[in-house]
Amino acid sequence: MLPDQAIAIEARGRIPAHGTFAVAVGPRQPGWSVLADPGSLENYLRYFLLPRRIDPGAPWILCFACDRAAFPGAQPVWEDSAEGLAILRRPP
Amino acid sequence: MTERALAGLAALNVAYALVGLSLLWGLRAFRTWGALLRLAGLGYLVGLAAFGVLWTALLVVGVPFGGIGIVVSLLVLAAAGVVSGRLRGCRLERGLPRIGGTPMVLVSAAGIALAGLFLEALFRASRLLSLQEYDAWAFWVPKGKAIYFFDGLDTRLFTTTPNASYPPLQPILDAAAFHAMGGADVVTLHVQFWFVIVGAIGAAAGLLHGRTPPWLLWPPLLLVLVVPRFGERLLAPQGDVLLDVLVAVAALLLALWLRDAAGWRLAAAAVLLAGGANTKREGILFAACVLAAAFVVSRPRRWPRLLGASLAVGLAVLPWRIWTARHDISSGTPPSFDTGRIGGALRLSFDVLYSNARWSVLPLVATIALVAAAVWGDRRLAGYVGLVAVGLFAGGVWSTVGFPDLAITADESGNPIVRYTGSMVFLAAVAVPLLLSSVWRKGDEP
Repeated sequence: MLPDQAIAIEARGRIPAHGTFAVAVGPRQPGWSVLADPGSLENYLRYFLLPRRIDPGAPWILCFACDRAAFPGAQPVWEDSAEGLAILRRPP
Repeated sequence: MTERALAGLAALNVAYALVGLSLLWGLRAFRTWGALLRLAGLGYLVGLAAFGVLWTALLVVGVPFGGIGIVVSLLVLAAAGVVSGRLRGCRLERGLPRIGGTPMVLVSAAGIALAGLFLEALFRASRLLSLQEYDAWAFWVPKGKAIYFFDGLDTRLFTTTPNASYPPLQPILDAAAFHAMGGADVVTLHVQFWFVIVGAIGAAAGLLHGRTPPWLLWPPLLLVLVVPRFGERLLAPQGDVLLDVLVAVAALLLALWLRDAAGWRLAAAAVLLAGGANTKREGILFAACVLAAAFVVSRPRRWPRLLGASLAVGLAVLPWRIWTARHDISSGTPPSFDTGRIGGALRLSFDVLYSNARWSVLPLVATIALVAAAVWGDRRLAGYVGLVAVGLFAGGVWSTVGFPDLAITADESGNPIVRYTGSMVFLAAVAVPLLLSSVWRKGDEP
């Protein structure tokens, strides 16, 4: 389902249990598994990261080869550049 | 997975069984310890359905779901059964179930041993299964997690997941399992679905015991467990199998009620159908098919009681319907009826039902049993089972015709007809023993 499960495990460890997050998905990358479905990523992460909730304005952004310019000021706190994956944190 | 999680889950499921048995006792379903043992599986399903229906209504009115609430609700349900039994003068006497003559004991023992072997293997698998099915992680388990973490119907999640109109009974059971396990352990959660299978087999065997010879009882019950489609999906954390077993056992109860008019059977069937109608959208259709068939084949003097049961099922559905209407969630009924799709939908439903690769020979054997019972056996029973089956079949055709977005294909990513057909296959497994035994006994009601 995910290009790399490490991003989900990292997100579970970093985002507080009652925190919120957003999911931003860009184009499929050459290294992604054929089973990784960009259209289902948000749904899967909603399940996996509960009780953390999805919120478009959340401080945490799970970026799957996303356009980082859409999140000005957000800094990566974890990154897998080979797969285009990152966890971004907006400034408070 | 921990021993504590398994122990908690076992305690919860034993509590469901005790609640159901209390309710059955209050309905005067048994008078001896032997009969109590025979109805333990049915008691489990009744307790689980009653708990789910009660909490569906409680969540809709905003009662928080938590450990204390679970325990109190189970105690209240059990007390209702015990008090009702006391008021009606029910007593439990000594007595073991009659097993039959020596050869029949051996057949029963073989059937129980084979079922036990399979269920033991299934338990080992259920302890370590990961959650893979799309529907399970897309909406079934997230809803259960949301009830567990947020103590109720979190509108931000319940209004935005796929299939938002699905009722919450299965997620309620998931959330109760999480509380019993001490955490949202989605691996051990599969064991909850194992308990449902054990309860379903116990319920069917207990109800059919004494009404059909063991050599007719066990082969269909064992076959339905291992047909290819169920063999790989029995433990999927979704509502499909729960709906199938609730409806099939309710249909069996009504078939027996048509013979002996025992009021407790009708009441228990109503509880199970209410549970099914609060498990999935098509549960309402399934309940309507079962009750309508019972109306058609029963004598008019029994209609008032059937009407009462039907009203009870209808009332049980109302809370969730009110909640979805209040939150502008579509009811999920087919939006159109394109007559050009009827031919393709009929062929699809027929091909799926008689697919050996999915259900082995069970539907074919059931069809032969139905025809044989109509000719040489209990015609009223054959009429009832036939009407239920035709109703369910027509519902499947309607869903394919009525949802233009559904492809006319057995591919489960494009059309749910395979999942839908499971209800007919479970019905076949519980009906075949009754149908064939009526032929064996040449139409005499056992």
